[in-house]
Amino acid sequence: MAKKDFEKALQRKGLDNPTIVKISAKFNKIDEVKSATKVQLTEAGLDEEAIEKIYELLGVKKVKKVVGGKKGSKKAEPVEEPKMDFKMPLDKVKQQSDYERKLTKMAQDLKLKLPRRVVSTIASRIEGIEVPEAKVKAILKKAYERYVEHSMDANESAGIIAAQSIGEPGTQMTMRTFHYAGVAEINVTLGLPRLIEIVDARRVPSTPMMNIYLSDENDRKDREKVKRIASRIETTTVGEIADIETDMTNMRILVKLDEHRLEQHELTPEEVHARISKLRGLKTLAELQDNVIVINSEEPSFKRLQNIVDLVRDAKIKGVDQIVRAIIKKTGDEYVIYTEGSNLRDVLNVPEVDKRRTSTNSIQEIYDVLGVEAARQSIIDEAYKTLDEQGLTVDIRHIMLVSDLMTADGDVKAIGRHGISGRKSSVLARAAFEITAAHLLHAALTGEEDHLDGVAENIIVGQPVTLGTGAVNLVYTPVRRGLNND
Amino acid sequence: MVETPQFNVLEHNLVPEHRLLSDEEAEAVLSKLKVSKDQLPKIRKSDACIKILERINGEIKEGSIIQITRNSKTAEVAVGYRLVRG
Repeated sequence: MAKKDFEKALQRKGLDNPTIVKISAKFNKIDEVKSATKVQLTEAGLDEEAIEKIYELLGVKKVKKVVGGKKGSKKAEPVEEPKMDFKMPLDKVKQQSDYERKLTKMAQDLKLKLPRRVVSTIASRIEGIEVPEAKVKAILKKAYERYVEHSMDANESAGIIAAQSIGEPGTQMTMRTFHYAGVAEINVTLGLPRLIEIVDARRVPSTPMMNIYLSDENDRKDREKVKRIASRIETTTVGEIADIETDMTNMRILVKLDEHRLEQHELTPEEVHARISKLRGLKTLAELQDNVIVINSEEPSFKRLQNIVDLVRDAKIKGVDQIVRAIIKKTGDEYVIYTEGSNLRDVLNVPEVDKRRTSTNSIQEIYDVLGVEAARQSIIDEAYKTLDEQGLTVDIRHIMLVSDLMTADGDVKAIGRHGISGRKSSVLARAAFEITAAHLLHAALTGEEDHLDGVAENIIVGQPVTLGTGAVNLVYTPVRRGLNND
Repeated sequence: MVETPQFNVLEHNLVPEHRLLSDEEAEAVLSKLKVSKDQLPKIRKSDACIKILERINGEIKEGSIIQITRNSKTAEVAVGYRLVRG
């Protein structure tokens, strides 16, 4: 029993069968294998190469008894293994132009700390115009003055301003849920429901969709080629390419393949037959005759027959899981594939797909495949787009704050009871938000303390909040009057 | 089992530049910002970008600091930091 589990575990690690047999003959636990020396493994009848592989797959870092030259090759191996070298992309951050750099230098000399956007805006306005250096310096100084004037004060309640700035336009949003995203027939949730969805960090959006771009410049302009790729990505079921008929008298099912549709999807009758034969319970029953696949039922039951029909109709022949439909549309001078349903990881693995631009509206999926930073950016983009689409302009910085907060922990957290608001350290703040009684009861039982640092808790106890002027404490030490001083 | 990334996610348009800071650089950043490590935003060790960075830089330990240079709509370029957590 235990041996079986051990073998299975090894299999999961990716070892091949002959090796597993040899290992399991000598060892009983993965840890034993890990700590085993090379000599012990050689005794088990394994050669050099296999041992290296075991160490690598089991994640043993360095073998203690490696001889001299081995070290180098060992180090290089895990990196080389998938035969892919990853480089840091160096073109991510926009480079400054020479003139911008000159201005930045000048600002630095004047000890002015200006963001790049300000510098580049000034540069775009005065570049190429004859401006004396003293004037440029004056411009920079003035710009700096205005910039500092507009910057936020210390202890300003940025969060509450953001909440109001997003909340107020939110009240004006329509409750109309669906809208066509410029593409025929693809529905996308927009408006308030979409905004709530983003902020709640739902796992799956109610209408997942993807924009797929192609990497090859010629391909993406060729309508036919894009169409073919789209049909490869779209999930195709047997029901879509064939008429399924039930032959009651002979107790069999006829799958009449449509030649035209087969061609569209680049399929052959043989492929469809092979796929149907793989279905559970239909191993030997399906037979290909010309363009008709005949499936005989092994038992004369109508129920069984109906089950087979359902099974066959929904059987997926090709395509990427989850992608229900793929539609192509010309955007600019290229064709873009829009899909209903989303599966970023698998779609990015399709060779023709552009790995830089292809994206999805599912934030969780972006987080899983591309990481937190991409999720942060995606939350900003999606939320801004949703508000903008309704004709509401919200300063992007408010949304950036929300997004920063949602992703601060390294994963995407919802705003609300289960996310950020529920993890506030103050009991009173949590109680003020939702499920008051439960929070207070729990706090009383566990003896929680409240340091009254936040806004909500200070309002509850009737103190000035620790914001703005309330954040400053005045300490006054009166000068002691001397005795001989009246 | 650790899945092998098939493509460089760092190249994707949504992903800003990630860079692992050396110990000295990390120290300099912390003293410049006057913060302690745990006050920084976090990034998981299992994050897709960290996995790629590990391919480039070797193993990244928890507690390392990643510098993120984002293209921002307001500041054009904004530099942020994230602490690697488990």
